[in-house]
Amino acid sequence: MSNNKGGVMGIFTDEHTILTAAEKTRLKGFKDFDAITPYPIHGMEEAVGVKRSWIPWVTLIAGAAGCLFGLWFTWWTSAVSWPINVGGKPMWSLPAFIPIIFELTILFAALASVKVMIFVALGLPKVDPPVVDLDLTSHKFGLFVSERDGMYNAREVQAWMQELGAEAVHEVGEY
Amino acid sequence: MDKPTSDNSNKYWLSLDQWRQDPQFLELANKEFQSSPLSEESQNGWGRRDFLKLMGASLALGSFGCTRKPVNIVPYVNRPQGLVPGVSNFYASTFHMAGEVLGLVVRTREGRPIKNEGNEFFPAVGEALSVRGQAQLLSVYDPDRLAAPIQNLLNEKRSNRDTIASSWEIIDEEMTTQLKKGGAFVLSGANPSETSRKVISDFVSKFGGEHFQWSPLSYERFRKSFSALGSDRKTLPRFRISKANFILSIATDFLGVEYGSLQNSVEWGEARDVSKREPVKLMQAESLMSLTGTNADSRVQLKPSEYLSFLCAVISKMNSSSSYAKQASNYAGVKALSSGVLEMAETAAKELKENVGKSIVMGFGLQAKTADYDEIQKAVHFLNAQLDNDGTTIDYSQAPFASFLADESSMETLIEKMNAGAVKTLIIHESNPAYTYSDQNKFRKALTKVSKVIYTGDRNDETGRVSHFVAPDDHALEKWNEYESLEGVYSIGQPTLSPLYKTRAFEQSLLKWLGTEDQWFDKIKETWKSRFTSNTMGFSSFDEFWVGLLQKGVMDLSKFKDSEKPRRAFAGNFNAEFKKSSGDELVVYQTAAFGEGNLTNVSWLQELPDPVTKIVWDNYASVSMGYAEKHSITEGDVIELKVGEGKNSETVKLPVHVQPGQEENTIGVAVGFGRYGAGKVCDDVGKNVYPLVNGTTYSGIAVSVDKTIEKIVLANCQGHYSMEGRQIVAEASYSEFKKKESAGIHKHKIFSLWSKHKYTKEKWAMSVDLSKCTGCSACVVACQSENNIPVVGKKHVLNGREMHWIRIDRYYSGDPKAPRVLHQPVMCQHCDNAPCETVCPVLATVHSDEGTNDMVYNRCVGTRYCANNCPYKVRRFNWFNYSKVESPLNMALNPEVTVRSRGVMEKCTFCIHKIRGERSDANIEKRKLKDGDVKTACQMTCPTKAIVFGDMNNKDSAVSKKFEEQRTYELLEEINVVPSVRYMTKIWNTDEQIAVSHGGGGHGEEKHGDGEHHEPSGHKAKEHPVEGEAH
Amino acid sequence: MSNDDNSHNKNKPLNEKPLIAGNKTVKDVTDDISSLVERVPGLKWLMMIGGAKALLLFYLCVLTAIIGIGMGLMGVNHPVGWGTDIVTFVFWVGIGHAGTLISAVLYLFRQKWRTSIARSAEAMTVFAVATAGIFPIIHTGRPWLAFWLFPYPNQRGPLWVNFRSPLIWDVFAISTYATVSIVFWYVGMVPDFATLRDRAKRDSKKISNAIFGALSLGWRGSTRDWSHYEMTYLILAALSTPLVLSVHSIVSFDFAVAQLPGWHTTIFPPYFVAGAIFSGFAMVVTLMTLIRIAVPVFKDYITLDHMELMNKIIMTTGMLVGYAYASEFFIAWYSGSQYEGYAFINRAFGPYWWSYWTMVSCNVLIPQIFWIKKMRRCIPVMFVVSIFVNIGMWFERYVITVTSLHRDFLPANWGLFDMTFYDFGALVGSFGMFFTLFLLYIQAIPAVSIAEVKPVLNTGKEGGH
Repeated sequence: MSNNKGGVMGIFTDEHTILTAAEKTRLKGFKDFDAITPYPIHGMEEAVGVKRSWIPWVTLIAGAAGCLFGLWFTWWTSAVSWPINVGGKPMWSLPAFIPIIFELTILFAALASVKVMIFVALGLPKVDPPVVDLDLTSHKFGLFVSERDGMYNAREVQAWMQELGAEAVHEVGEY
Repeated sequence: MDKPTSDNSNKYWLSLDQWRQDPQFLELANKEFQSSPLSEESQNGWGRRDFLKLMGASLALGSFGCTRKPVNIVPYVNRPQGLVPGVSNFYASTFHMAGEVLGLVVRTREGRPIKNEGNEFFPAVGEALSVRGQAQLLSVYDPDRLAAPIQNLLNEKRSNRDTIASSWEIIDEEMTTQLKKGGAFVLSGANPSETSRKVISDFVSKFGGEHFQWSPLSYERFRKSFSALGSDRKTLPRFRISKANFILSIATDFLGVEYGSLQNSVEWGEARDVSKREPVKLMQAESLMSLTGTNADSRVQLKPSEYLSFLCAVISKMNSSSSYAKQASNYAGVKALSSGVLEMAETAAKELKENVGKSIVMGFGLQAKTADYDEIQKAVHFLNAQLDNDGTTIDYSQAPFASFLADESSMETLIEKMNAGAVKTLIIHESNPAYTYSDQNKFRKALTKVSKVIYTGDRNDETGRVSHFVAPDDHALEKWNEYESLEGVYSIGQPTLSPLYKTRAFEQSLLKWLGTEDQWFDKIKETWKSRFTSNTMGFSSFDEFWVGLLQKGVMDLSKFKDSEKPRRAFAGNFNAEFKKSSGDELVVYQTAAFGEGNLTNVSWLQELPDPVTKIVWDNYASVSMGYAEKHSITEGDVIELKVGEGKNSETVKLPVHVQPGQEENTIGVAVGFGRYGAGKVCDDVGKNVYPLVNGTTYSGIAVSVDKTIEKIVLANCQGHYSMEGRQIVAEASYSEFKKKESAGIHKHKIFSLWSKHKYTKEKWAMSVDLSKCTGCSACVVACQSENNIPVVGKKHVLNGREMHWIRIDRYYSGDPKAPRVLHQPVMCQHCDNAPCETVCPVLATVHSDEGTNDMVYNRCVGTRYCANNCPYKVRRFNWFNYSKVESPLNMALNPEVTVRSRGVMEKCTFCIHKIRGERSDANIEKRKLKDGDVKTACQMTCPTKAIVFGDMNNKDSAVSKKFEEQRTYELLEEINVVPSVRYMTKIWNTDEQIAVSHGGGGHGEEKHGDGEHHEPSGHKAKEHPVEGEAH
Repeated sequence: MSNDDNSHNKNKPLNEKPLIAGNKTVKDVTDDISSLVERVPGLKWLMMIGGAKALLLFYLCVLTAIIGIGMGLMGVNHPVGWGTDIVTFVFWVGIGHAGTLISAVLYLFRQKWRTSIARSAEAMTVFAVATAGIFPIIHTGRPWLAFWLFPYPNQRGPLWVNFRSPLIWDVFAISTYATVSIVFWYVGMVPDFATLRDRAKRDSKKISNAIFGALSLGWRGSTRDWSHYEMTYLILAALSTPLVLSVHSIVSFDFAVAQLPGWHTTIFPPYFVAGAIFSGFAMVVTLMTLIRIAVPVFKDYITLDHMELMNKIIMTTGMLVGYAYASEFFIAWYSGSQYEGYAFINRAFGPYWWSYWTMVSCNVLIPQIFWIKKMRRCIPVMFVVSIFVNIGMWFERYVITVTSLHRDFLPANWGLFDMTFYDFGALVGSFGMFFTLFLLYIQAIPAVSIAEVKPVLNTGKEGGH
């Protein structure tokens, strides 16, 4: 999803309307459009046609990395770098190292997922993002059609919004 | 190195002399405290005056700045021959305290002594050293020692004094005038130095006086009692315990505190070497639980008034025809004895008869000093003569003790002379009568008749404060001297550092006052010249001999072979009147640490757990469990002991300690406490009980007891005394041991999940033979001195924060009212699977490739997880910055051992610094370490050789051999920590069933290593209330 | 609008009851919750934080003394090497767990009722862990070297740490737990910050706009954002769940891995986790009751139904813990190990019997009162009970730590442990730290997740889906 482009935004006041509106817009053939909601709305992904998030893959890889690192680090420090006889235990006491390995797995997985989500997937942070309606984070819903969309035509889209029951329609210079 | 200002020296600033001398002082005088202390009459002025003095001190310091002067220690610019910085020098010297004379090897670093060790050439003792012998080292560096002579300006009644600085010049001046009056007497403790005695006799004979050797705890009456055997020697017999099979001891703590206790312990070690012989059987008849009593195979609990009766009972069973035996058998006291006691008497008699010439009867001890003391001696001599023990097991023909020369009765004579006004000048040397003499009023009154009293002590203590001058003698380690310990065994007292302060050898002073220019050192050399015949010790010339002597420290001119024994006929009549004593009887005893009250300012000794009670920093009234129940008093309740009637009655208030195994109606109190003016450490620790002593009667004194509402918490290092039926000290009787060498040991089936590490170099290990260990605690002090272990004080001991690396656990097994006592030295066990190491997060404690468990102080963060996980709880934590000590005590620190800072864990290191030292020596000499090269501090000093240390990888090493013995077991074997320290079963020489496979089950497998399953002795004890833990 | 409004729903199963009382619109929700952050703090709040702050200052003084003069100020000794510090450490870590549990585990189980308490519960987690984190440091002999517990390359060899030591496991577990909890908490707050940002812009409050703008990272709330966001949130929940279990298991290893009788037990991990949830929920109840008092409007978001549910959990976990106590005794007897056996007899009847029975009555007996519905729904009752549970759980750790240590293998070492002024100071003071943080949070951050409440607004209402 690329940023900084103009388009048309319709403001809706009701959860159901925006949901159906999005649905209809998709069926009408719009591709490059999106719904802005103050809270996640059940079924909106399908309505807008967003694919399932790929974050889990990041988690899996990072987790595996953490696990392997833990395994290597505990082994290398205790058995290679400076092997010391501690309590008569073997230099590489794997069972005793499992907790460390586990914690590192979790740590890596969690941090990686969040970082990727914020910085890559969402393209955040954004300094002073453009605002259309301040209530979009409170109790109003927006449906935004980008000018990049193939079928885009400002007038028609505005009319379409009205038809869908938007309380207001804005021509957005950059969003 | 700065010279410490002893705090007395700060108090000098209120004296008339100084008023005249110091202009600055006039300014001070103009401040509010002009009044002369002397002008103040009664006691109520004291508090204010002390305050003023302190203020004077602070002002004085303020106006004069630093009053410190440098101590001349060895300068490095032109270092004296033989002193290499960083390398220890060893000097042979001699330890003397109240008659006890022991050989020393003093380890010094950069010219300062850091450790007292035994002298291997010293006959009958070898490397072993007593608790006090070790602790004497610290007294050199005692911050409370006088830095220079002082003068006490005493008022007319001598009730009040002010102390001012003095100097040797002033004293010499005073003395020359004073001595013209004649009547110069010398009162000293036992003085085993021939040369010194000679100087003194020259002195007193010139100035028409006498020399008295007096000690409150002397053996004079014992020595005299030998006249019953037609002997009038100046010496005391040696008890050849190693030759005996049976010992009957009447209230004599011959392993703990009595004369020759160290020699006795050494022989005890041989006599209890179960692997080699049937251990000597000891029957102890006593009232209190003495150290010797704890080692007795059987104990008879008697009131002091019953000692004689018991002996007579024994005699009556000896079916001897002699008239004495008849008289004794008819002694009324015999009938008064309980049937149980009579049985014991019968057993004793039986044993004695079986061991003619191989038994010992003794009853000379302090606790036996009842009204019938002399009769007891007679009875004892009779039995020994009867049994042919003279000359074999009781040896006063070959090198008996010649050093215990004090006479308790001589004080009476002296006091008479003083009252008669014959004594013009009295010089008190190595004696502290103002503290140790029982009848203080009498003594002090007599003292007022003496116009000059000179005290040679090193502090302004009890006696100091009643003398005009305190002219400090050099410390024994700063001074030349020579001693005769055993008859014909002469040893040299060699100074190991130059005097720290402006002190002067007592004999040197006498020589000076005699008006001669003679040097004390030359006198000593003369004496040795007289002893030297060509080819003494194989030296042809005296000079060679002298050097050789200084190196060896001791010269043995006694014929140390067992010649044919002189048969002696006992000639004596039994003439004791039996007086039925009802009510409580008091027993005054001495402790191994302080004896009659020396070295009390040595903190090591104050914090040395009493071998039996494990209490520190106090003395107390020891009462039996029965007594405590009857009068419903508990540990710490303060009781008031009252001796005598009417106006000359004496009372002392003491906290109670409830002592298992003590006779029902006896109360025990220890001398050597409650001192004043003796130093920061010992002042007001405990109470002085000498006043309770009745003349020379120390035992069986009639006493009345009052309960008070006060309570004093006693700092006890071990609150719980039952083994709870666990196998901690494995014990068995000799008969069981004969049947099965591993009797008493329960073995576990043990397996490990992982393979052990290989130890290819040495693997250090230690064996502790519990049958030999008497619990004397010499190892504790040795370890403390060797490893710079801090002393924490009563407050912290109460909180369980004592720091000893080796502690001696003491358990009572069986019925607490008549228990068997077990001593178990516990130090770090250096486990192969050390639980402490596994849990340390920062690898601060890890295993070396020599099998030692090392503690890395620098790395320690102080989580204390290791201590929690140590099943033996041998780890000690520095809760505060304990290692910071007052100068010059820091000079006693051993530079080879790290001083631990606050917040780190510490513990026994197996004297790793010694191992390293020996290793490097071996490397220099291009050889491998031999067995016995490395000796840990505790092992070296152990008189009974119970501790053996060495390399268990070397199959021929002593320790490996010990480990092969069946008696060897691992403490807490079942948790599979595989300790490198192993113990050997405590074997009692009795016939009763003792061995238990440890109680309460608690082991995986169904089939036990060895069959015996008796009611574990610990369980009995468990039923009885156990003392609450101390901390 | 009081909580009595939904009393008529009492008998319906929860998912049919409205989770939020007082028929609120989406806008109401925004206004209600945001206004709390925007308004000037009320007197009640000021008084509370005043008290908490004073306690915190006292805490700092105590810590200074302990670090400056030495560990010896506290009661710990030989043989009791661990005392108040470790006890309180475990106590606080335990408290923390309920937060994660509510926010993560209940999220996985799609328990919608969690939404209104999740935020505060997580806050509690973060602050509890922060409070706990102080103790392992001050209990060391040389706190200024505590960083040596982290394996970092150094000039000593390099000398690493001993990964076999449970304390090192602790370091990893606790720090990971703290990090993940904070991240989880923050991620949850991003959309709300966006809300606040926009409101600030509307009221043209420059500073708050700037602050919330930064915190919200420029959140926009498009469907794509939401889809990634929800997925990540789900993953974090999925990761936190095993994490929270592991953390208290590892804390229990501090004891279980040692060979000390009374510590050396395999039941500890589950037992500690149950205990943690138990104490955690108790603390949540305590805090929620306080919040309801301090900020009445929350009564609509944190309804009696929520409280009742938590009380049920408290009772359940309480009985779990009770079972653990019982089975410990059984095993002690069944193992046949005399040391183990003695350790437990000594717990119940030794010198510290009082602590043991305090623990049992507070943790097992008192929560039984929740069998009665009336009690489950009675605010004063549950407040008192939750306090008791907190006390009981502190004593559980006290019993485990002290009574096991004070009498172990060799009776010669047996000793006693007494708390000194500094022990009490550290214990009490730590509450000052916790409450200060929590009260600041109440004031500065929306205490209920705006974005999460809105979707469940209609649950249980006629026509809701």
